[in-house]
Amino acid sequence: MSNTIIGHTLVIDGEIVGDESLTILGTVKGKIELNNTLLVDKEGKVEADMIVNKITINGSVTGNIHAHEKVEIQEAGQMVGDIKSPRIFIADGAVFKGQIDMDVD
Amino acid sequence: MNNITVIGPSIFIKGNIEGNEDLSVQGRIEGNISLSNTLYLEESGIVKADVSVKNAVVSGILVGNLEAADSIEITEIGIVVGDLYAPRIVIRDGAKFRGSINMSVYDKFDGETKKIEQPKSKFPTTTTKTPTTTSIIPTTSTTYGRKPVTTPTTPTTPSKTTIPDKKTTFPSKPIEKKVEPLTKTDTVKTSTSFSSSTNNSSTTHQNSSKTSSPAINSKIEQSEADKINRAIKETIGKYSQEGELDDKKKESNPEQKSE
Repeated sequence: MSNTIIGHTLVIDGEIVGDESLTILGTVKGKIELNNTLLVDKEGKVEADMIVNKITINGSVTGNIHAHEKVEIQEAGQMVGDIKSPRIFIADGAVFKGQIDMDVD
Repeated sequence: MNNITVIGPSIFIKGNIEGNEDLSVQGRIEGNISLSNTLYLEESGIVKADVSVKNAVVSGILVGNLEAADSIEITEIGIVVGDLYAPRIVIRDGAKFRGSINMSVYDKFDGETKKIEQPKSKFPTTTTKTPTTTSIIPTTSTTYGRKPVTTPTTPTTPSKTTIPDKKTTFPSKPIEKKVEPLTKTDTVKTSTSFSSSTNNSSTTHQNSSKTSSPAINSKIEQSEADKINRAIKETIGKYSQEGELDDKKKESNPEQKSE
């Protein structure tokens, strides 16, 4: 399965829906719905509400996340918004502002 | 610029995409795409958008207008419905295309300036383009007054130019334009007309005599063009129906989830 990569210089304004893993190096605004892993890489910037299986944040995210499996905010990650996920990992150095709800199915 | 962005086969993007790198689309995109690099629309890719790029290689399905600063290539398996703007356009044998083609890039500006007023007076004033282009533009504009639907600069020509338009049926027009550059006799004649005739009266006389040969060509190719058009209509119809169904599924699902 080929990964979808949204490159550094790319700006997407709208809705992304899919079933495969997605790596964001650029900028995405809008809405993301993914039945797979979402990786926001170091220079990646996301301003969107997300429904994903798993998300790893190394870049900057603004918006609410609903993850079915896990949310990871890595050291370089910055996140503003609410998280709804059964498992959450926030690394030392990560920046987070928002509510967390782990009380999900 | 080594990066290449890949939109995978299961991904559906609805919205605008902008960027300065190559983009390979294997999934679906609806919206506008504007890139300062190359768009590769792969075999599984479906794009329903107005596209503005530097280069475009279409192996998938594109519905919408495509504007390239450099070149457009529709490969053997590519399907395009829409208008093409590019200085260089390749349509490979087997490709399916419906729409118009404009290879003289300045005609796009021509169209814009027409809206404002006279194109001839406007062109020297637009200093953004190199001076060589200004000498080319008047000739290209006269050729455009001869063939397509748009009304040309001079008031005398439209009455004559409408006659060949009436002969040809509507759907064959874009294909006729596409075929035009391939017929060598046609291009030779037009080139001679540029050099010999600067007066409007002389061009109209030549036009009336010239239209006989393209008319015959168009009649022969019309049947083929109709076949292609029908094939494209069928394929596009299938895809659009599928797409609508997909849309409905995808739209209905999130609502259920959110509720």
